[in-house]
Amino acid sequence: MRKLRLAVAVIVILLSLALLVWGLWPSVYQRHSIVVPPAEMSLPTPSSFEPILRSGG
Amino acid sequence: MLRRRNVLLLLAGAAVFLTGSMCGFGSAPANSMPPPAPTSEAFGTPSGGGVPTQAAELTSLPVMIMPTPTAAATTLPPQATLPAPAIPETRRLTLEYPPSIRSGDSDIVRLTLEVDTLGNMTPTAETQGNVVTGQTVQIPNLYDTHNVIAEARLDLAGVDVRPSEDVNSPLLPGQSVTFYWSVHPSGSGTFRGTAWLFLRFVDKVTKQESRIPLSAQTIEISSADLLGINGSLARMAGGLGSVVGAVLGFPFATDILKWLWKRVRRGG
Repeated sequence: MRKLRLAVAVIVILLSLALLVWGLWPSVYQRHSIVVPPAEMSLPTPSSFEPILRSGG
Repeated sequence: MLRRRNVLLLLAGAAVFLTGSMCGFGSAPANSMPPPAPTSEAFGTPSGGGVPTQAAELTSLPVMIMPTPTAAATTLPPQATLPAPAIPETRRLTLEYPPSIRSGDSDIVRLTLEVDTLGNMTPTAETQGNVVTGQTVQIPNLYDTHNVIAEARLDLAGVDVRPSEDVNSPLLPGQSVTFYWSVHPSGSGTFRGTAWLFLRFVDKVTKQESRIPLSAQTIEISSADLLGINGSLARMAGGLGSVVGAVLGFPFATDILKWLWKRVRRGG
């Protein structure tokens, strides 16, 4: 009886620890980094407004 | 006799010279002659009939043909227009997100636009052992004429994103801008979306606005569960099971249970 109780206790503890580890494991973040040169952060050229002007918008 | 002989020799030489000069013996072939340098007379005003006059005299100065430089032009052509105003800093755009979230849990997605610390770099090119240095071009500073606003939006179908609308933040020189979203998957599965970043320019004088898309990065988040158990349920079950297992497994657990039973019986 004692051995059975200890076996049950071990199984319960292992399962519980597994659930705790999975539930509390910190998230791993993915990082994507790109360089934006100054040329891409410029005012739009007047020619790029042509579709807007044609549509009347 | 000698005088007669000398005279005959002289006459023969003169004849040879005259014959050679008449046949062009003393001059070089025409196709190897370098083009004569133009003189002012060559560009004289044409005659009344519109026929251009020929040069009064052609100089025979040799003309040196200089090789055209193959390196990058160091001077702008006279017709070049000023470059469009731009932000004078190189920026780095960083997107951070969790590729996997436990079902039922929420997490943070972060988008940062920061100044790149590499600084201004003059472009250089090396050709055949020569180092060519590009000239720094002065670009009008956009911060001087416009208010710059960074706008961001996270589109992720099937995921509750807060805030769901566009988020704005002013972009100041030398300062970084960071956007945060809270994402909460509705169920388990893989969710794909796009993180947008726009720059909006507002003219300080005319208040005219213009907007450009700066970046559209794809984002993929998967929501997972453990045998159908979500994150909060797993944590609760894990905690409770750990306590029960520890109690059952302690060596003196039986003694504790017996003592508790006695107390209950005395109280009852």
